[in-house]
Amino acid sequence: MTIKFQRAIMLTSVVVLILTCVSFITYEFYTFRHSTVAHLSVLGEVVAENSTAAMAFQNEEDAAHVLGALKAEEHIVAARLYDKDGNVFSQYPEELAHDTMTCKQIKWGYHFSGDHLEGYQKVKNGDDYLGALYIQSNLDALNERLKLYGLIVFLVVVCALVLTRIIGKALQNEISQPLFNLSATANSIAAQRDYTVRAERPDDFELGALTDAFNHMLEQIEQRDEALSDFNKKLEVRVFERTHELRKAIEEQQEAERKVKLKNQQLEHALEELQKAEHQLIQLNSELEQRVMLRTNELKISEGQLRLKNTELERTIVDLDNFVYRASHDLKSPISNIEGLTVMFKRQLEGRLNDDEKKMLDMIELSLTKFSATISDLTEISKVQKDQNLPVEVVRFDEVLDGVKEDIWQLVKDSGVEIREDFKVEEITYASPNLRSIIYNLVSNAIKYRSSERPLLIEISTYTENDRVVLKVKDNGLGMDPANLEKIFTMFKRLHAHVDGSGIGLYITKRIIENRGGYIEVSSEVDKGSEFKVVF
Amino acid sequence: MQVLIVRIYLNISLLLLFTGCFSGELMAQPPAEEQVKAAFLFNFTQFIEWPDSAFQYEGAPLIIGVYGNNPFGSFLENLIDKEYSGTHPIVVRYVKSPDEISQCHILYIEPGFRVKVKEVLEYTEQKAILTVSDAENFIEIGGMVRFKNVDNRIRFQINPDKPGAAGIKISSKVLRLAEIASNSQ
Repeated sequence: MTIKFQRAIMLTSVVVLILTCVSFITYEFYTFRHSTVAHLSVLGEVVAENSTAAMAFQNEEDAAHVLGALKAEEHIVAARLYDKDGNVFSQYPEELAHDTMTCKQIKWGYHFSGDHLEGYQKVKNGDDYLGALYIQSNLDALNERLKLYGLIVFLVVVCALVLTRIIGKALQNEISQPLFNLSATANSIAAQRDYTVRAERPDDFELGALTDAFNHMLEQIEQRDEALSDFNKKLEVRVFERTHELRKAIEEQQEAERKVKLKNQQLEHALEELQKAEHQLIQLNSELEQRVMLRTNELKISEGQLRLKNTELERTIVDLDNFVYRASHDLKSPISNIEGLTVMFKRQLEGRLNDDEKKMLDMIELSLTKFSATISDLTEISKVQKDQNLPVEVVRFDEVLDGVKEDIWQLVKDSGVEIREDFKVEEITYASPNLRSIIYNLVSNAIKYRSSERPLLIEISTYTENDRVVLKVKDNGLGMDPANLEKIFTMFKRLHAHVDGSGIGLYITKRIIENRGGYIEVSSEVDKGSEFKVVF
Repeated sequence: MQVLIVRIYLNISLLLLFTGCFSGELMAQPPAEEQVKAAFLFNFTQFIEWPDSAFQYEGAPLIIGVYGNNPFGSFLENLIDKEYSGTHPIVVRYVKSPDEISQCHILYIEPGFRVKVKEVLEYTEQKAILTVSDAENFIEIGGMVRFKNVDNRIRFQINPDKPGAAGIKISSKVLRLAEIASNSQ
């Protein structure tokens, strides 16, 4: 430790010294170079000034005399005066070899060149250029000075080292020894952990203060140590308590976990059952779906069959209609022939027939008339089928009714009927012949089946029901038994035999209405009247 | 009386320096000795100061007068052409009569047999005129500068008291080159 301390001091001193000396020498070196140049420049100025007259008056002796004065400056190696043309006019020392200076060689001013300082200077009198002065100086002065500085540095460093060593030793006794003591005390305290030990106090002021501080620190450490061990004990107790609590808490938690696990298992079981049920449900569902699909397919098939059958039926109906029409049409002329022939036959046999024969012939005539009527009815029916493609137009109800009244004026007149009209809907888009046929049949029926006990009243009205046009024909005639109501719309069905009729009027009416997308209803009461309602 | 003799060597190359610029008039060249004297006359204007009273105004010409026969030809004129002494342009004047002497600042007196040097000097008395001549007794009879030929070198004697009295200041550098002399009067 002592050696290190001393070495540090010495090294520091030496480094500082060397740094100082080096910077000092460097500064001196440059300053001296600069001042050397300045010095030489001044010297040159003086020489040049003094040699103007000698140059002007070509007095070489005087010039040599002036240059000779440079002897006083021992570092001047050479000096030379050149005339205007650059020829050597005079030189110092005189034994110097002659050389010729050309203008190009001239570099005015002084500068270092190798191991010497040299330069040229103008010799002027006023503004007149008379020639040039060359001076060369060696650098012995500089070198000498540098050598001197080197020596000084060396001596200073050596002295510093010696002094440092001596002072270091003195200091060691003064400082290091008490420090050693302190250090030894500190070591023993560190090794034995005995904070009651105190260091010995030296007389020295600073070190005494240090030792006091050290001892004070020891006291504090001792107190701190006691406090720490006290605190430690308390801590241990608390740790023990806390550990106990923790263990308890952990046990409780484990218990809770166990319970949770149990509940979990139950839940999982329930979940499994739920899943099973769900699975069954899904299976059931898919079975149902399959069944529905099967049933749907079956329905589709039966629907197709139905449609097929329907088409067949429709075709059959058309065929039948066609057949009826052809048959009735073709039968017309043979029947007419037979009728005519029967009349002629009756006339031929006039007077020759007995009563029985006459009666038979009348029966033949009657049958023929009925036959003819039936055929014309059949023609009428088949026509209805053909008429369903009639074009539609806007038709007024009152106009149609007036037409019908005109057709059956005889019947109207004979029956004394009163017809009340109430058309809330005045017109309708319909096939005109069809509407006329409907009204004709309903009105003529009402007149035909009137009651002889009271004057006949027919009420005809139109109105709207559920966005559809309705035609109502109401009478106070014979009426019908409600049980027979459905039969009145069938072909050749007649409920009253006392009036003539073919029994096809309502059938045709119903077909017309239904062909146009409507329907007909009837309500009736015996001896009170009937009411027909047509919904178009 | 101390005499310092300054020798001036004539150097051929030096002469060529002075004459080189006028090579076109080589045929009219005066003898080498006269050329050196002309150059010295010019050099005096550069190293000597005249009192302000010697000039009528600032920038007035400095007049070199040549009395007697002109030994320089046009050499001197060419030499001082466009040259100045301080602020004064230098001119050469060939003086024919003593009346013109008072205008000069340098008076070169050619010691021909017809010129009586002593008489001429009387006109310069108490005036700031630098008198120059080759005459042997020039200093003794009251002249200021005398050219001497010593072993083919031109040297000059100066009596510094005379120009000093007239207010003419001669540079010590020139005095150092000169043989200082004084008249016994």
